[in-house]
Amino acid sequence: MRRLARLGLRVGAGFSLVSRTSGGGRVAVVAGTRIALGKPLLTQLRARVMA
Amino acid sequence: MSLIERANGSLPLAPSAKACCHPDTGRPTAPDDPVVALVGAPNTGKSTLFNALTGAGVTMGNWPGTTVEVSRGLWRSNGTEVACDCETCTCSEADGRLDITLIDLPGTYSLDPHSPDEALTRELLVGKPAAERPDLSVVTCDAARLTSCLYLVAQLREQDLPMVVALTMSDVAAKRGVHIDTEALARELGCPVVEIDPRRRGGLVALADLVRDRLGRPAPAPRAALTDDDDLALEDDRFAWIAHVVDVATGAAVQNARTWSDRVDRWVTAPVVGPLIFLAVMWVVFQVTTSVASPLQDLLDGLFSGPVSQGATALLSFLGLGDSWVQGLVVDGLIAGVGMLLTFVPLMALMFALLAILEDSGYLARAAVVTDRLMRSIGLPGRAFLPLIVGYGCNVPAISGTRILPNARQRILTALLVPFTSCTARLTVFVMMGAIFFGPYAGTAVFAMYVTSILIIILVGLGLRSTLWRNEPIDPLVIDLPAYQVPTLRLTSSVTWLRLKGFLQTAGGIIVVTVAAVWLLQSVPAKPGLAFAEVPVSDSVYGVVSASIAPVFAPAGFGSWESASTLLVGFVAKEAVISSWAQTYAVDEPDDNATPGDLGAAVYQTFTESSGGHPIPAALAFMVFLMAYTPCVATLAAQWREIGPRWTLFGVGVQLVVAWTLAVAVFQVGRLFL
Repeated sequence: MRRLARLGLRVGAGFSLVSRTSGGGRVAVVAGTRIALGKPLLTQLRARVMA
Repeated sequence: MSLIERANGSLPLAPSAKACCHPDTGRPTAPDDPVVALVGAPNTGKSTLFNALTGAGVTMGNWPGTTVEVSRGLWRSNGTEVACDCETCTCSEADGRLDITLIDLPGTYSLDPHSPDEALTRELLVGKPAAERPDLSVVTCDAARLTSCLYLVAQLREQDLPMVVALTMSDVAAKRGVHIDTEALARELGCPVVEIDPRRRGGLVALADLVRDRLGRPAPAPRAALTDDDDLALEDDRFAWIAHVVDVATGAAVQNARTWSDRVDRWVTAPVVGPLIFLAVMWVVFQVTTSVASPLQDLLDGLFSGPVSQGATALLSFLGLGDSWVQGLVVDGLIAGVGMLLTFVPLMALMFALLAILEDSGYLARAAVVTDRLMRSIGLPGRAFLPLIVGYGCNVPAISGTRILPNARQRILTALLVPFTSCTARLTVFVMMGAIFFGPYAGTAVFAMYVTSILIIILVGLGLRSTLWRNEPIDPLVIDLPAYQVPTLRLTSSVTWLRLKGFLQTAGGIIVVTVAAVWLLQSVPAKPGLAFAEVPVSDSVYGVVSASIAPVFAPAGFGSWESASTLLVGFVAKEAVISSWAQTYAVDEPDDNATPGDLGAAVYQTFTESSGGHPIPAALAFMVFLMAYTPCVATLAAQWREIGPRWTLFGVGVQLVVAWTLAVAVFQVGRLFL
């Protein structure tokens, strides 16, 4: 989680999911940074959809 | 020990800038080169900047006492002009030159290390006493993703460190609608900021001027950070500061708008299309490193075995040394050794160039995402797939290709697995063995070797993962995807030459010495009455040594000195196996390995005798052993350079144990049926 925070993906940060990856992962965009996230990690994240 | 001493002092000390007529110019006049460290997150152009600033004289190697690779080079910086207005000034451009020792530290997102590479960066920047730290740090920040790059800056600004910020990829940021006010950014950060484009060498003079100006000046006052033991509170404070800085510098919050890179990634990292694109890219890499390099290698081989050897022979004859042991040493030892080394140059150059292109373009990070799930099953990251694939062409560039892995332990594990990939040199022997023993099923037999190779990699990988690497944490997939960029010829050439030079310097000596040693063993008679360099192989020290180790292979069905000697030669180079066999049986080497002729008949007879009438399983066992044991001395040399002698020798031990065990099992089970 610390590593995600360094990349900008921290509590309260807004992000977008732009594409899927093999293995059930996603590519997230946060503050201009594109981050590929694996499925096991994604299942641990809690997010709220914003309008 | 000072930083320069730790850097091994391998770079020549250049005279510092000569003091102008005005000694109080503020420029450093210390006799030693100042040391400047390049720091920053991965994929911010740090290494590109390093390549642009340094030329010859770059050294790459592990930092003393660590397995972390650090590049060090000489930056000969010239200021824009010597600022002097005295009438009798004799200053010249050379006087304005300042030689700087530049160190390219491993990429890190923060001073909180998650790997040995990041730990070294932290130690060198803030862990050492002030006198042992770099004189100045240049922190590279990607303008297109400023937020993630500024956490490191925030931490560095809390220390008493001289630093400047070099803003890269402003063009990428502009395409995303992000325009950065560098003056406002400098004001908010509390340290100088300069905009650069290291790929196109833009802004480097401004960077040089800024660095020269800041060297010797006191560090900016540290940022007033929160004094709290709560790490989360400290993080929140830093991110709040970062958000304020970004807001002021960009004029608005950064938008997460979709870009051209996102549209490409929709396909490149997709669940089905992504792996297909990856396989296509790998096929191109594989084809280039085999098909394109092969004719060049043949050309070089022909040059050394032909005109060069003939020329040397003629010269030695002219000097009265013809047909002497001196000729044998020079032609069959040294020239053959140097020739073998240089035949690897096209292959290595192409491999390094392709890796540089894939990395510079940004695709390598995507390939790591696509292959991550597969490689994770044996405890490796997705990027490890690339060197393993390359190994099926040649193990030597594949070993060097493990550099793309950010973690040293992962590099070692991958480098230990690469020798089990069945390279094209082994294929030549497989084809001949297939033709001799398996007739219409020759193709199936060869295919079985590749399947066996994959199974061995998986099994050995799992074995090492559950033993020596059992405490290695498996990090979740979190990969920062850089923007796609068109690779530049200059950067690709620079990186390729740097890595090729390193290979030649390290591996060259090992290869040449080994080839010469084999010649020597084949020239020394083991029986009385025979002249040096005029002895049949069977009566040489080489033949006696082969005969002495042959019994080791008896349980595998090929315990003859002829087969054992072939494996000894194969240790030097698998390409020499067939010619060695031909020399052993005193027959001509076949023009086409698929039709072995007299040589095939002789080999078949030998295997029939050594296996007690079970030549087929013995041949299979031999092929399995050839596939699994130590590839060649060039691979060992590459491993020696990349992972050090200890792990290289460990790898040799693992290869021999695995090869012998499998060969014995294949023969003992096979002879029950065949």
